[in-house]
Amino acid sequence: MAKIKRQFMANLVNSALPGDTPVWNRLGKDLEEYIVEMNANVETKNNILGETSVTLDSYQPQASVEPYYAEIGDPLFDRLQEIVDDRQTLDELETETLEVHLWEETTDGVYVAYKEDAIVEVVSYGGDTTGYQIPFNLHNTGNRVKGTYDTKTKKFTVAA
Amino acid sequence: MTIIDYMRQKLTEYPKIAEFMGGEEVHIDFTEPEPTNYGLSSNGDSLLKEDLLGNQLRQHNFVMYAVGQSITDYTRLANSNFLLNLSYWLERLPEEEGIEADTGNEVLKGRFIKASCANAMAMQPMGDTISNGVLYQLQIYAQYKVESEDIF
Repeated sequence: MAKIKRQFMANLVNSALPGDTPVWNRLGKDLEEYIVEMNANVETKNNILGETSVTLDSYQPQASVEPYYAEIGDPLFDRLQEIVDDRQTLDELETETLEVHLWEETTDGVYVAYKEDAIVEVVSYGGDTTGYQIPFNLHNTGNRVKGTYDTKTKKFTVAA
Repeated sequence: MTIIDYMRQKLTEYPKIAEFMGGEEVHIDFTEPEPTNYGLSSNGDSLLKEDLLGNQLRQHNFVMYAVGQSITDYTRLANSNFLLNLSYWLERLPEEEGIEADTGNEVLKGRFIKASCANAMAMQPMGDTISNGVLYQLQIYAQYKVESEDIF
């Protein structure tokens, strides 16, 4: 059994404004790690018989993208810079995340993928002399749907 | 061109090197014993980090050997100042495309990121007396990125 290389779990974020046609940007450049923390809500109870019951009723997944180096012409940079410049809040921060399983090819260049709504939170901006940085967090908010991602057309299609 | 070719070319392009070299090329892995000669010795390449897409940040270490005139304090001071100025110049080289890394299976594109310098110093006289010239060294660390093959 071969291990799956990390780059085959592709993480993308939609850099288009809410309501516009999605523009999927792959995350990972300059990132040594990208971890989706599941933040499960777990409740543990012990009864007088010494038994333990565990209830896991929800997740609050979130991930941190740090560092993110701004590059002119990158649509994700344009979106993040708008958030910074306009001090955007609430619905203006809505986006979508996409996880593409590059080890699960359905047809040529089309892979199993999961899309989920999210909120983008710019953590800070500036950085050191290595370049202008805008690290950000992605907070998934649910509405997770399964589908496929076409790497040629760069479009996500919800599974029938 | 490889990172070795690239750094050799950059050293050749240093505006003040012609004064020192008299139009000669920078040697690789050796230097002539007579003043004034330069040699660029490559002594290792290492992976500094790799991102999730497989892009690598690498560092290549060089030692530049130079045989300079050394008869008087004036010439020795000039040699040291030359190495100091060369260090300043190397550390201000801009990022640039044009490097390639041949892995055997494919040729990957690379990008020069920056160079830093250390240990510019006189190493040893080239003969029994100091009038035959002195060997100087300058350690150069060149960082460059190698882009991974695009998956999509």
